[in-house]
Amino acid sequence: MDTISAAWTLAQKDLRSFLRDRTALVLSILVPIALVSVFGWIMAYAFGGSGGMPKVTLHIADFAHSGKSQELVESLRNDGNLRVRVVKLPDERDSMDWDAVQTQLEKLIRDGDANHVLILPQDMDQQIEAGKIPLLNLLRDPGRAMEEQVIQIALIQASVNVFGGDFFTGAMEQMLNKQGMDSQTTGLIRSWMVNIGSAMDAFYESKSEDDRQNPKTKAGANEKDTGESDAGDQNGGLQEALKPAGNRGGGEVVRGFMEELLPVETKDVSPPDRGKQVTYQQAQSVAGMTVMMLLFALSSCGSVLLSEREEGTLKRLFSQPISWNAILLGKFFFVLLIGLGQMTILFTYGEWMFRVGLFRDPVTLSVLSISWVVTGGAFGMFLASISRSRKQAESLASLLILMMAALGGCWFPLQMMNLPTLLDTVCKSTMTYWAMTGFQSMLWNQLAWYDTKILHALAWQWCWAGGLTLGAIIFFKRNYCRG
Amino acid sequence: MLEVFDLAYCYGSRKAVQQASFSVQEGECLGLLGPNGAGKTTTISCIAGLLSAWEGNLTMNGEVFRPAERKSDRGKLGFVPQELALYPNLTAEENLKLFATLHGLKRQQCEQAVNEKLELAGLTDRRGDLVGNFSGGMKRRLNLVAGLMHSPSLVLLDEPTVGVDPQSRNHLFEMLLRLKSEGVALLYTTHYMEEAQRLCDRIAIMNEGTVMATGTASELAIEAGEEDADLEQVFLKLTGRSLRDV
Repeated sequence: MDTISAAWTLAQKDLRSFLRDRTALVLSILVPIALVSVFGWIMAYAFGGSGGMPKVTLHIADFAHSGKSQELVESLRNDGNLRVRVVKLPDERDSMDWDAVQTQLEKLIRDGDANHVLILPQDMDQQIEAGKIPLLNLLRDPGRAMEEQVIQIALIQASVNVFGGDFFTGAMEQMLNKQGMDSQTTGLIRSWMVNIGSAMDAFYESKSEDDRQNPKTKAGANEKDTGESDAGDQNGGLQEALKPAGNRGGGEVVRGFMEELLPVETKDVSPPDRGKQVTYQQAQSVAGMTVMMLLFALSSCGSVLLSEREEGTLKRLFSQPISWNAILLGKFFFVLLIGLGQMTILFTYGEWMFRVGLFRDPVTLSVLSISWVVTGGAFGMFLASISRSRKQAESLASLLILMMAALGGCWFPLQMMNLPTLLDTVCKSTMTYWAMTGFQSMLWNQLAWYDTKILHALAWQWCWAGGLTLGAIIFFKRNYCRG
Repeated sequence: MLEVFDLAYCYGSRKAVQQASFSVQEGECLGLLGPNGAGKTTTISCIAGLLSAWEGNLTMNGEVFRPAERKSDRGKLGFVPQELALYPNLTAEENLKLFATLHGLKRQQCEQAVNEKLELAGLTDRRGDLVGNFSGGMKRRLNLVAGLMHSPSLVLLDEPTVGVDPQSRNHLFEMLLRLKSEGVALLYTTHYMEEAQRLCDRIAIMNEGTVMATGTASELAIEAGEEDADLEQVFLKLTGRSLRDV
């Protein structure tokens, strides 16, 4: 028989054998379907699609508690890109301990409960009455630059909506003053701008009236130049100027200019030990990839149990004067050692590559690592105990790990996604979510192992570990032990 | 030494072994001879403690023998499975040390046992080589001695010569004869007549889960009513000529 014929015969044999393994066959179809579904689902919320753009959470501390401040909060709340959370403040504003409140707000960011806190000052209305644009304060996590850009744009738009034309002219005046122009000249410029604004208002009002009377003419005009369709709004020009900011190069210039105008005083709040160059995405990648890859490694180690059965060595082990749980525990130890070794290597590499401050708190790192290795090890053993063959275990592992990695936030930070309640609950029910929460709390928020947030994450992981270990014991006894 | 009374085991509703009774004495080799699916491996698995839900009675030296439940009972016997139950990524020495350690041998005893068994298997000069690189015959020899690390008084051998060349088979036989001469009892399953004739003092012929007859080759021939017949003819007479596709 020639080489090609022999190869074809062997291929047929393998194909026949594969098609007879029903479980492997079903999994080979289910795995890609499940992956496509989960990633498609997740990505829809991450980068647009049916779920819209991911919303950025902005916490607002409204010390002014006035009509204008409420209006600003409402305007920000109506922004499609923001998820506004109003921070509850003490009722007695006059006797408030400002330093304590400020510290509490900063703690929100340090602990990772908030990334940006906008402070509306108590004297906001007085500043407006004095003809000034009120100075706002923004506490921010410096590693969340991407989200901050969304907040800045939303804030400019909200300010225009709430403070009206005064915002633009006032902000312009403030900026020119800051540049060194004398107040007489800036006052003059301001009055010109007000006059121009009034003339434009009058023009667009009459134009709107004409359009209402002759809608066909307006439609025709729109066909020629749709960019002018909203110009009747006195803020429309500004909003139009802002709109392209996100989607064309020239927009960056406009946005930069507007940021200059926006009277927001920012303060970076980050844990003191966090490296200045570290970004959230880097910390996310190191933790996420380690968490996911460890699961792959441990599930592969767990399937050594299946190899032993397939190769006959397990039979010999069962004939030795040792108990069955010694065999299972031995495998578990092996899995844990491999897991700890892999974690050490991956974290050392991550630290060397990104300088994310992994070894800043070795105790917390050890607690979290051991916890995840135990959980992952239990997962690997559980898979091995329920599977009939290595092939089946590998397919099942790929399916479950990739799904849990996506749902648990190993690839993309879930905080940046606009997840519906159901999906959010599904994500929080995965063990990877709790591993990520633990590592992110340590890496990003620099919390110690005894912090409630980390203890909570650890508790969930241990619940998972306990459940999986129990499952592994039950199925091992049922599928492997003496019948 | 080992007494088996009315041993029975079912895989679901299928009776694999029923009312099997036999005994093995010190220094004796009892051959369990039977066609495929006769219940030889199931019988030996029950005795080795790999199966627990069997019925009947097992005694060893007059005491109840429950290997599936009692580690100490498993420690009394050596088991050589049909499969090459060795770790290919470990050396011959490491494999033997592992099984010796699992039997509770101390370091020095372990070293001594490893040296002895490697010599018995003729693998002393290959002790540091990975088992994965061994030939089939070498693996078979190592597979056999791996079950003898704790010097058991009873050894269960489940078709230990499958797929080996005549030289290795001969070496295996010599090893087993040496063990027998040292007073070790052997329970040996096979479906090769010449093996049974050469090695076994007595033979128990199994068919469809039951022991049809037990005795020496000549006793079996008499029992079969064909005094001049060889073991194969006796075997076919007792078990029939139909094919056994289990």
